[in-house]
Amino acid sequence: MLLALIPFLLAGCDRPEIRSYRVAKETSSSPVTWAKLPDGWAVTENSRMSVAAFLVGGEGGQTAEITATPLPPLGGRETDIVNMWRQQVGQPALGDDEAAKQLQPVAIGGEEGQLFEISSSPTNSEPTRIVTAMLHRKSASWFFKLSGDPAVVDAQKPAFVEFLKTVRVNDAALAGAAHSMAARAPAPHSAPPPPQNFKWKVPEGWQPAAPGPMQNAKFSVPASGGAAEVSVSIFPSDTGGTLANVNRWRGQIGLGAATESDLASLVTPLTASPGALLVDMANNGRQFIGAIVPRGGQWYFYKLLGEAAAVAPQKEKFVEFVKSEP
Amino acid sequence: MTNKLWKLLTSLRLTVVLLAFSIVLVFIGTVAQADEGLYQAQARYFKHWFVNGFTFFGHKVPVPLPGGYLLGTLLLVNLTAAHISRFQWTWKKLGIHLTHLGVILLLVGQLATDLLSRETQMRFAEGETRAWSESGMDYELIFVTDADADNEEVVAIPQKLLAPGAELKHEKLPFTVRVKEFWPNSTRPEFRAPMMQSQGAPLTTNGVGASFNFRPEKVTHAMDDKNVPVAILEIITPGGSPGTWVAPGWVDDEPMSSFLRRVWRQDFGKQLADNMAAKLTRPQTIEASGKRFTFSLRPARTYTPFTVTLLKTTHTTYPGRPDLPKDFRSRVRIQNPAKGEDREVEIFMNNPLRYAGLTFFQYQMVGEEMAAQRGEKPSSVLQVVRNPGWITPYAGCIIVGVGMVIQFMIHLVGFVQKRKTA
Repeated sequence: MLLALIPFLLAGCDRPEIRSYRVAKETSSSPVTWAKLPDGWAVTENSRMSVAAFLVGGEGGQTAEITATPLPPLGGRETDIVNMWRQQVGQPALGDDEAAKQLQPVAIGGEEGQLFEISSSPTNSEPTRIVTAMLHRKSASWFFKLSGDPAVVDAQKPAFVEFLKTVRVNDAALAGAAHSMAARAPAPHSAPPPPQNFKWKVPEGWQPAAPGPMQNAKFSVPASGGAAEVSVSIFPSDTGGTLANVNRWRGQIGLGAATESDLASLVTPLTASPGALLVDMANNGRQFIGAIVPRGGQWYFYKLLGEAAAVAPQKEKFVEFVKSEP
Repeated sequence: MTNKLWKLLTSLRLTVVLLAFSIVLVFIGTVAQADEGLYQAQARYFKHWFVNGFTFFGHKVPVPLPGGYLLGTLLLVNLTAAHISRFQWTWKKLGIHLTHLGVILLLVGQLATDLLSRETQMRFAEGETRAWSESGMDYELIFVTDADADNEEVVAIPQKLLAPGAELKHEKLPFTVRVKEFWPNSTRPEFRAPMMQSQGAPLTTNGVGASFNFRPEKVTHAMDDKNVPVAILEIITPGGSPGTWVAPGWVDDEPMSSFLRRVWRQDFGKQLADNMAAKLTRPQTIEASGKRFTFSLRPARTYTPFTVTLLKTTHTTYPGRPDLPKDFRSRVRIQNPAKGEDREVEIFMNNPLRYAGLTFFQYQMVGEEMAAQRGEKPSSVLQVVRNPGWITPYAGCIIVGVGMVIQFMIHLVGFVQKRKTA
């Protein structure tokens, strides 16, 4: 009979306790990890190909972006890589010897990679500086890119180099994400997809374009006075409220942050939906017209951005588009 | 007094009363599953000594009842005492002795199963290897740090210790974990756009709490639902507090994170959904005493000294009925370095693998077709059962059966002999 009661006594001893044990390392599910983000860096949305992205601001509202992007192995094609980036900022291509001179050794997570810097041509209206570090491994080539306003990039370069030392890349985690990455990568010669499942009437002349990250639809707006584009993003929340969004938009045309008291003079209500509003800002020849429209439990963010000469004539069409049922 | 007690314990009346209560308890406990859910009802009615009020067709009845443990123990004591009291060693009673022994073995075996058996799940996609299985209900807060180039040190804190206000310490952790909040269940994480101060302040500006809102939810007992906990933790180092973090159960619970990804893809499109999922599953780390700790709230794990690799899933349906599974099976590879073992096995419905004290049953499967629709690899879930008392029901039933046959034969032989004499 006493034997029968032993399980009960055992049950009484089965108290939860903290355990510690040693196990073989697991393969991380995240393709890239890091020890600590440098001060001022904030995680932001990944671009089409990147697996991690950060944004850092400068004193005057300028920004620079840091991305980590794995690509199929490209070791031995350094000249092509350097020239690809040079082309991006409007610089002429270099020969093998010249390209090789651009490369400096850099530590990336305990391995030796290469780093090179490129600045846009002085005639470029939007000066850009790019610092790229690359690490070629058997199954992937990793690119860490710091790009944006030259002053911000220069200021952040030491932090970027320190950050690279703590980075850990995990090629194995890419295998699972391979098809997802392939799906994210734009098809090289395919036509841009039309906006899906939307009933709205797109103004004449607006051409559907491939939506960027965090965008649900995008249109290019051809205009004689310059280039402009319209984008629509839909979020399940107001993403921080009017002031936060207006300030983010102000930053995109180089304007400083506004305060809560400035808001009243910056925004105008729209009749599209209760709480809908419009903001129209310009700086240095660029104009930004944005709208925030709460609809059916979601927040629609419309953006018309480009050179002022191209944006201004589109304002009326843009407002009609914003008001139309999506 | 002792005599009275002994008389009571050995009485047949007590057996009848206990059996009557058992019938009532089984009936009420079964009906209550509709209101309280299977696991809750099992735990409350059958795995407790007393039941403090019960639910009957949606109505709460404030009447106490003896619980399953009490009835089972009393039945065991009653049967054993009666057996001892009336024990007479004669061949004529062999059948009765064996039958009683078999019933005692059944009762003890069921008790041992109840207390010692553990059910976990091994979940993997094709090509993946597991040296652990995980609980379907319980979570653990883990802190992981590098031990050497190939190994890591894990400190696992069971969910039951994560009570609000608790301060948890361990010799391997150079900090104290203060539990600010613990929600046994939570709503789906709500995405906050990056770099934004969203509506209301975030729970914390560290880690995943900066990108998502988490809210508590009423604990569910429904069979097709699951409680996903969230812990809000403050880390306290000797130098002060580096801050507060949210540890959501949604991140390392593969079915739940996969569910979120599917729902988000439906709601926001693939690109934004993948982005949100990447933000949710990004490892959270803290640094203390020169060490870097990654932490998360994950389903409680049980490790095995061998590995199981899922080689191939096979999911077939009846012709013309794609919704009706005909067969699903997993081909796995068992590798046990300690025994020098490396072999392949097929596990399918009604054909479990018994290995190292564990039984692996085929449980769930995402076949090739469904996996392709979801953009995933085919995967399989094995139910892993550790039940040291699994043999007792078989042995108990055989002993009872043999006992009854012997007793019947004794009577039959006696009867036949009597007739011959007459």
